[in-house]
Amino acid sequence: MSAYLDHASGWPLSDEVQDAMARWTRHVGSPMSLHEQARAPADAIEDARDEVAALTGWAPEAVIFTAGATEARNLAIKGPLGAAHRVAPVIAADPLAHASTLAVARSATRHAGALRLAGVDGQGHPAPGDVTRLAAGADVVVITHGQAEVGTIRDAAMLVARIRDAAPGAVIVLDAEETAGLVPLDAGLGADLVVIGGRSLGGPAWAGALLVRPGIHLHPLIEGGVEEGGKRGGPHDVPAIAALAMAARLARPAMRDRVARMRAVAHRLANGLLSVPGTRLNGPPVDERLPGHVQVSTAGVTGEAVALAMATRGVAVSPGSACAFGAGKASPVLEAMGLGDDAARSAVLLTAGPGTTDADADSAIAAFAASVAALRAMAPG
Amino acid sequence: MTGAPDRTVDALGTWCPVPVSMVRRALTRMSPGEVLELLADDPMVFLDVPAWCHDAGHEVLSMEQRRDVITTRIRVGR
Repeated sequence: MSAYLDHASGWPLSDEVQDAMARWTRHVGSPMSLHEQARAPADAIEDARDEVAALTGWAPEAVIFTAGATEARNLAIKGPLGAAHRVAPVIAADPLAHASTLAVARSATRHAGALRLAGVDGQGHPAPGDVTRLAAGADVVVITHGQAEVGTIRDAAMLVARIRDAAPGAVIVLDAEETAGLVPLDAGLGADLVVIGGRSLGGPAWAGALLVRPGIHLHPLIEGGVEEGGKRGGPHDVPAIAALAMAARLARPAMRDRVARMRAVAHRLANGLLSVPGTRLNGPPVDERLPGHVQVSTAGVTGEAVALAMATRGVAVSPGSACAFGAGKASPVLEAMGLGDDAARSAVLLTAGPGTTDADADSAIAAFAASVAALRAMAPG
Repeated sequence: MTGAPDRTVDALGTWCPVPVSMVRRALTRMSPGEVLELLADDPMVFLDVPAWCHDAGHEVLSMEQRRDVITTRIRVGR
């Protein structure tokens, strides 16, 4: 029995993506140099800009390549505040935003300003009225398109439109790390800045980009270089950028088929996992959540113990909360959604990819049932 | 000089010599007579950009500061 159901941590890279990366690990020559060896990597970067920009339909100049989505989030929040010289910034988000979004927002408002967090319902959706109320007067508003832990897909276009009305001066950030390549992002769904990560595209998780609508000004986080229009200094990671571009090229035409396959596997997983007594699905129904995404809680066990027990049976999954993992804490995301402590601590996340088979799903279901039974049998009382 | 520039370089948040380097790279992709607009907030551009343009044969049409943003318009030379 062996199955990989942890695509939330990283997708297996396709041969095409690996080949695109490998080509540039063998190349000598900086893309910023003047000589002939510079031309090919410089062209590769510009080609990559085309591929990544096509995710939104924006011009290639919109793309700033970063080392993953976390850096892009940092730039998306701190960049506009720097350019606007905000010393007491107001940032609005929701408690289900990515942990790095909340960390950056707290850091930016540590000494002055405010972080406003909208309330969320039991399915992980922020209340639109709450979002617009908190956005009024904000400098930056972050919308998390797909919630990584419970799989909620927010109606970003609707939220952006409402925020635009309530806070016309705010810079609106769409965090699309979980949705790029799986949900259309035409015109950035109206946002000013779009965070992209490689993972949901089938690319390396350590590659990412921030897409910037024309007219939005940023200060760089990494200073001192002319790379990426001066907004991200330092040498380009050409292999990662080329791999990200290949992943984006493959993802766009494959979106419909990938989503269909991942949802089908998620249905199979959910049905099997929920047949274990005392198990509940956290977040929205399978057809309304991130493709391939299933999170469950099970009475009488902890998520960490279940994940470890499943690993000993050859099945890779995650405890429900990546950010609380190892901290001995219940998931703050699940707590914000109103789950009780037991349910929040017992969450397990299974995430399928387009290559996940029915046999993989069945192995995971069997390992889950056996792990839960074994752990319950060991529990005192 | 009013009207839309042919190209805009946003160098906000960068320090000299980066704005000049970005101008130099942008001008290589422009034609004589076209107008480049540089947005910057490092006051050194008041010195560096005119000096570099003089040496490189480009014309500084205007430089003005509004709040912290210094807008420079450059006509591309031959």
